[in-house]
Amino acid sequence: MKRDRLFPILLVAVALCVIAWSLLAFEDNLLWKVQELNLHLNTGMFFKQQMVVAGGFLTWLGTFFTEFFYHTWQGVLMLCAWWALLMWLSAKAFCVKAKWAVLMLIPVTLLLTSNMELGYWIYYLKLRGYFFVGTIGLTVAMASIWGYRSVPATFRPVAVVVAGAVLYPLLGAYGLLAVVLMGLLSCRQKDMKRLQKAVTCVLAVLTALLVPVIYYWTVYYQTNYDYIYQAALPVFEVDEAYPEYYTPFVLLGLFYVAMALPFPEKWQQKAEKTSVWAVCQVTLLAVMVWGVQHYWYRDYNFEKELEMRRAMEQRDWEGMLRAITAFEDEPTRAIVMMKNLALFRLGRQGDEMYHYKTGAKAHNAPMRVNMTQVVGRAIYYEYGQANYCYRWCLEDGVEFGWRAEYLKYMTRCALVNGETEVAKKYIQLLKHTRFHKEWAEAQEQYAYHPETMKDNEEYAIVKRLMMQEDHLGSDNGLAEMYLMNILLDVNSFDPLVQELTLLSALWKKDIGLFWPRFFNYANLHKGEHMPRHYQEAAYLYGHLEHQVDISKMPFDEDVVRNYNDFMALAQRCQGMTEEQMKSLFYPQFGKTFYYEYFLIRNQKSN
Amino acid sequence: MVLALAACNSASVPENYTQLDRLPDIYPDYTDVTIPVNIAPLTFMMKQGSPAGGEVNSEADEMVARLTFGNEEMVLGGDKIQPDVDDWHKMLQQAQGGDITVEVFARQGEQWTGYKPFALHVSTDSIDPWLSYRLISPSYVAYEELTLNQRCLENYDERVMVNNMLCSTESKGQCVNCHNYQQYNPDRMLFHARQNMGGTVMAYDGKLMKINISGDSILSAGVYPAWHPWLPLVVFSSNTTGQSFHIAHHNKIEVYDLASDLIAYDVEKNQVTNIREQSPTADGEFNDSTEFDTYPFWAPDGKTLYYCSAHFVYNDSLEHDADVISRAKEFKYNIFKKSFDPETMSFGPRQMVFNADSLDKSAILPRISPDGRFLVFTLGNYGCFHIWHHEADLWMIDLDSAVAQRMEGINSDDTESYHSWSSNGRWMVVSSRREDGNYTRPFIAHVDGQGRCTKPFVLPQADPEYHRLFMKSYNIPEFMCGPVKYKPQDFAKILRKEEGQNVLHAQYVNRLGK
Repeated sequence: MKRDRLFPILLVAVALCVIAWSLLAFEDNLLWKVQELNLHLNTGMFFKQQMVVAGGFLTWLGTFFTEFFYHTWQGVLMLCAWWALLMWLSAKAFCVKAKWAVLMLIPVTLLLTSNMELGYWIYYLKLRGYFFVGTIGLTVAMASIWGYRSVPATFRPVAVVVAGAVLYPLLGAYGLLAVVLMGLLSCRQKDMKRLQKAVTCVLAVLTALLVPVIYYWTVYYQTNYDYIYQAALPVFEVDEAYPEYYTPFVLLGLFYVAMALPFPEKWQQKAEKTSVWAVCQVTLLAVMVWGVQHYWYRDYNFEKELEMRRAMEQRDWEGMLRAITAFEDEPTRAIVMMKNLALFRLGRQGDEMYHYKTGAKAHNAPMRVNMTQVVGRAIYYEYGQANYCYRWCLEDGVEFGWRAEYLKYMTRCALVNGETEVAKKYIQLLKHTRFHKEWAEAQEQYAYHPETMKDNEEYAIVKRLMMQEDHLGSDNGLAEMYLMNILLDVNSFDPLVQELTLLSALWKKDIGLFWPRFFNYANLHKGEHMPRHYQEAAYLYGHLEHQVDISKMPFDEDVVRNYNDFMALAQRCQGMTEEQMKSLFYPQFGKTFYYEYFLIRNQKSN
Repeated sequence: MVLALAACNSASVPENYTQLDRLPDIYPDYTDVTIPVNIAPLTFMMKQGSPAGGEVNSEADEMVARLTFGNEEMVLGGDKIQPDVDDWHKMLQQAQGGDITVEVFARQGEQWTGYKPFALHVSTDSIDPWLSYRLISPSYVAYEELTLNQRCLENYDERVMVNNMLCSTESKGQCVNCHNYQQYNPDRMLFHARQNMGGTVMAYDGKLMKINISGDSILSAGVYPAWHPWLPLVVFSSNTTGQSFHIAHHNKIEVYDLASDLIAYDVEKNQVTNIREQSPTADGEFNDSTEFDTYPFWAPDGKTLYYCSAHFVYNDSLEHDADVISRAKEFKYNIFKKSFDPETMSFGPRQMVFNADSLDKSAILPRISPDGRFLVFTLGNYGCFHIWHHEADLWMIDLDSAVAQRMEGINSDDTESYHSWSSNGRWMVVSSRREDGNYTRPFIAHVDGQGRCTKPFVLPQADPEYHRLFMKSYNIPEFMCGPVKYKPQDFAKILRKEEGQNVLHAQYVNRLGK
């Protein structure tokens, strides 16, 4: 192979390797989460359910391959293999010489961008198998175009129509793109007469326009007429549309249209010159690298949420805390909630909950992101609110499509609620998945023998935390506020639940609610050291409102010293704004309840 | 002569097996059920099980079923038992009025086990060939895809009649509900579409219309409908509905009315009328804001309107929503009736039919048998939405003797709620959550002339695992004598293109326009 052909191919191979490495190195948690939010069942019913819309076959394949992100390397390997195939088929379809192989990186770059620009959209996108759908759709489209070129010229007009009729149901919009490209490609086919070219072009356009309409009236009953040309494309809309996210898809279409159009002879000759070729290679690569880097979604909180959430799934409470040690930004409430959960489960919340950065940073997303969609379900479950966890799994499953994560939580909720028959239903569904089957089978014994749940640490603790008294209400999507508020009304002698009620009183900064819970805690933990933050709260509240005599309480020395120092500094800071005080107080008192009480306000829960 | 009906595979009964003296644990449970002579094949499979303290077994590695009636025999095998539709119907025709004996053999590893045979009692009573229902996920507030489907009960042909996705966008969803037919006639039907492009769609003898039953004089658009048996008249309830969620109770959700009334819609005049109560209040005004009337249903003779009503007086110091939520258990619906004179089109005063309140219960969904003798309703502890109440059961009143009793045979330990009579009055379909407590499935039971029910069987599917894997509930099952001819696209077209006819309003009368 000549050097001018070998080098571009090697370049493309290296580029693919770099992409694979980047995905594995930087997006391991994201890709794992993507498969948790995916569902592919190896049942006939699942296949039929996908096939009720145009492009359903693509979503079936997309969900199948997305499953492999469970072991991230497997998913990445498959994605890159598909991209390699796409590049090869694109080159074949449009007769691109090996020397120009770098051109074939453009669609891969755009597909990579379309995947990596998502951020919080992973929770809201309704297109199933999104990470693979575009890739597979274009790959099959390219294979079809290559096949179309091998059809004798006389039959190509018919082939275009047949391709439209076959590809639209399978590939949706990608099938229509293939048809249009076939039409355009005929313009540069030397073995076709002018009339044949004209007829083929017209037929291609008519096919692309009419086939979806015909299918709408005769076959499909689930796609709104307004969306028939967008079948198998994602819809970036939550209350309002976000058109900027369609950019990679528009560019993909334009790229392939450009590839299909005749290339002027003069330009071809110019491009053959080594200098022009080299400049083109470098420019293309530079633009692609810039584009990927620019549109690749990076957000510290988002990444930390994913890392913590993954650790939570593995019940690695220490791992959750490790993820936020030396936190570099203001955390979202989701992170604060997960941190509190981890500390609570480790029995250290009373001593350490203010040792981590707190905050309520808005999610870095164009649309409103609710905590219920991000971690709310898991948080509800872990705090024993099985009904609310179950509710949000159902609500979101209905709206965004069933996902493995939802089914797993619905199984757990059903089990702790004693609804073993419906638990068996979800277990049965999960047994039809590739990677969640094992988990599902492990839960079977609890569905058939619920009495064994007491020996399971996870279920035992969740069952202990479940509400004993029922009442009606609604969280309005505000998980943290609802959770804390319902705990305010709970009276329990279970030390675990009782501590939660004390924590909710601290969260509410309600002195009246605090004292009875504080004394209950003391009674239930006789002889044990009172956690530091509870002492701080008692010492502070004792001084703020002299309802309770704290003079005989055995406070730790540093609790008293910190309070005195805090108040002394506060005296010296009169006239300062709250923001000025925060930066002044944080180094010395940031890890105390005093700082929390006086300087952390209006933490907007979502 | 032994006639071996052509089975779809070459299964044979194992020669060596261990015989057990118990029924096979099959899913769905079709053991000893009574079935209509024209029902689709009952498919089944072995259920997973787990001996006490033991490992969970897989369903079965293989199973064989031998169905026998007289000299006829059908032997089927595989991991599921799925009789051929034609063979099945041949056998049912032969067996009507008799029993088909089913022997089941299951293999685990190399070991075959034979179970005690059970019977399928084939009734001579046929069932209406079509059943319609709404498919909806048992969600709380959110919905995405909702369909009204129709299913041929003689085979597995299921068609979508209405699909809300055809009129939904990402930001503007549409809900469809409350499909209803005049006397099982698919040519006279209606359903509601809410929110985006909403309205009531009515098919009436080949004419498709979209109407807007709303206005200042009524609480809301029409909700629960009841066609008069022959007049072009539909009585609806008009409800202001709310929802709230249980924090711990397994019922999970409460759906309640903040107010409800009855209205009548004249199809030909396009006129809606509030149906008032007869008795005036102390100041002489008709005020029925304390009476929550809902769930109307006509007696088959068209001369009596049955409905449910609860008495509830709001606490003025509270918001209505908060008041209802805090006192949800005080809502006790009783069953009433009003006489109706089709000649003068006027209603008589209301009369109590069943005082559920006196039992500290709540009765909803009255449905009269086509012969007019039996009234079946759903009884729960409180409220008007018993599909979320695990304790809800079907009760029957013999209108000849006025004796009310829980329906033995048809009820389960879990929810029974919506129910419909077949046109010949010999079958009843009931929405039941007996399988798992969460997903509603249509169960069909035979009801004889004395009101006795047999063990109900779940709507058969081509794949017996279907109900176990399907993530939607069957809502409002209604029998039909044939399929609705319109396609989902036809309904979508009228919903999309038409604003809808605004109805004329006549206020608070007990006499409808003649």
